[in-house]
Amino acid sequence: MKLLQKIWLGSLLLIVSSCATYYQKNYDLMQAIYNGNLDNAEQLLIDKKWQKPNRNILLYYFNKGTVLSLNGKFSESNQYFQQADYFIEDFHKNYARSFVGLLTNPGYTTYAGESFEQILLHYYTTINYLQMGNYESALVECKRMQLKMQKITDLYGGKNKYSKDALCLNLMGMVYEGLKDYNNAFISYKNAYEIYKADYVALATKIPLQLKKDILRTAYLTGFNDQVEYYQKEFEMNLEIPNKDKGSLVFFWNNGLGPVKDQNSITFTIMPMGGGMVNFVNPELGMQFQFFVGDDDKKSLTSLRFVRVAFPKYVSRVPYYANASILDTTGIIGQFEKAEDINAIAYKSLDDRMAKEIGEALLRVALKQAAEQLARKENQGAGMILGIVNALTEQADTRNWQLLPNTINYTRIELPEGENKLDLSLKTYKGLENKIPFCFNIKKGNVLYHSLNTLEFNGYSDRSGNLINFSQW
Amino acid sequence: MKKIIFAACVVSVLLGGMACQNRKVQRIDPKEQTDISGRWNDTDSRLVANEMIESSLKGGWRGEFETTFKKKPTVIVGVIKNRTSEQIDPTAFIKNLEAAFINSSAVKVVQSGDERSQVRDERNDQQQFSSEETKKKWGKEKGADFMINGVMTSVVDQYKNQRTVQYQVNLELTDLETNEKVWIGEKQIKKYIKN
Repeated sequence: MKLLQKIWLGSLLLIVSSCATYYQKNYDLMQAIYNGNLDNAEQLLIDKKWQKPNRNILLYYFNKGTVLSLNGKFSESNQYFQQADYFIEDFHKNYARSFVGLLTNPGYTTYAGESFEQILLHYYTTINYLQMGNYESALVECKRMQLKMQKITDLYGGKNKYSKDALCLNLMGMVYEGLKDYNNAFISYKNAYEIYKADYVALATKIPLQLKKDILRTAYLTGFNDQVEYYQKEFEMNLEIPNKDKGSLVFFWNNGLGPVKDQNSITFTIMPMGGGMVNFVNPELGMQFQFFVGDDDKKSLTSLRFVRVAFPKYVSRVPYYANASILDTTGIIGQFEKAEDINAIAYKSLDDRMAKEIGEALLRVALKQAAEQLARKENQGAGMILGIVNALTEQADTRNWQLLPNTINYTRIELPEGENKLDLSLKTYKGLENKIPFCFNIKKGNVLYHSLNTLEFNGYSDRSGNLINFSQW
Repeated sequence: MKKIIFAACVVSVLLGGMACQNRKVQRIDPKEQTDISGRWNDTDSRLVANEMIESSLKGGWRGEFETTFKKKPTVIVGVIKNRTSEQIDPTAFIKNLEAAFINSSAVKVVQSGDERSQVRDERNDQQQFSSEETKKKWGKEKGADFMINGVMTSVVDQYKNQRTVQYQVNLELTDLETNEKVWIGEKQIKKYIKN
């Protein structure tokens, strides 16, 4: 029994250390981010421990790329995002790890990124390149973003709710405009509009008014007069002819921080059925899943009554700022509009694969519980240890890219050539205003791209937006 | 069921161990054809540059120039635009083009871009710091007769874990005096990649 006690204690210590969610494990990094101490965050990520274990390397690339971008080191940031991109492109499912993950804890598998994370890494690379004035490379990133979205949609057989990314095409339009390729810019904007119109109501994003202006402008600059007329009627607005003596500023505002993953436990009742089948039922949530467990010795599983299963769920971080605008001495000259709601997309993406997630979790729990029953029969002590180990290892995979913004917003304004002193006005939900001064050097006929992140947030909420008590510890 | 669970536990332990991988490194010939990720690589760059320059040198423009001016033409490599869906640094391809031109001994190649600025900076320094006998004079640079420019594009077709990528490189050689396009070349490479 002494040996058993030692094993029990050892297992307990080993497992408890891995019980924390990924968000809790990243406490130091998140605190540095929350305090706006980006240099500290960058320093933390230099430590090799962030690159370990290898199954989390993609999250390291994501975090490093984001922190460097937030710190204005666009070229270095893109090096890490490119590594993330190639990691995703070359990713081979490690069946060994997946199998072990299936039997123990899904956090043991190699993290390959949520579908929207795989897409949004290209948002960062694109705006990094745009801010460096490298339109050619920015265009490559938009193309890669589009190809990756197609690949993800193919994997879901087109049944995923987040199947097309409007921001991707909107950005592509902006990049083509930077390259003065107005025809392709018009096509990209037009395609972005179709996606916003068809898919983005469900993703909490309206069609940006700016996009409508962009479609009209690029149709005009391409000489597609029939398209100008068509879209003027469709949008019920008139074309604003661009002033050739002015330039433009496109300002991206990444507001707040996206959701973090927590876990949700659901209890299922196991109902034995005929022919070696068992039914896992949760009447409250209207869920039921059937599994074939075979006829030989099926009692080990069917003798169980209840099982607790852990699934991942998102917890939102409520942005501190509600809206923003650009001011000059005359007042508001640009109002930010939402281009992508990452918070909403995260929930939909998880919905897209929830059935698969539940199926895998139930199979995992069923196997673990049945093993425990068998062990109890052979040796009560061993069965007890296995029971505790099973309960502690029953964890959902809570890893996600936690430095993504909550929403991506943008505005475009025409400005005279030369130095322009402007203010960014940020307003909180309580009506408080925070002004940040900027000076932009605009060149005639050119577009200048700029981005700003506001990382502040105001507590946690559930999917419906209700504030909840959620601690990082 | 008992057997299944026992087997699953044994397999998970064995596979858990197998998940560790050892890195191996070995030196190989730089000219060896390697395809690891399926993306554009050094082999593609070298193959396309060599084949296209060989094709360009067979064009009539060189003979006409030599007959008229009784000298080898001088070429400058201009801009190669990347319009593919991969981050390809055109510098390597430009260097491959220059190497293929120079190694052919059929044309002369002059510096372009940043390197040309560096040469001019060095000549500028020489005016102040080098001896009279060794310092190089201004206004003696060899002006190019032709400029080669190009664009790289790609078309991707993919479904789930399979994809084909067709790269196309288009190069154009332009007479710098007359603006006439004297040679147009096209080279395609198609790859099938299965993950």
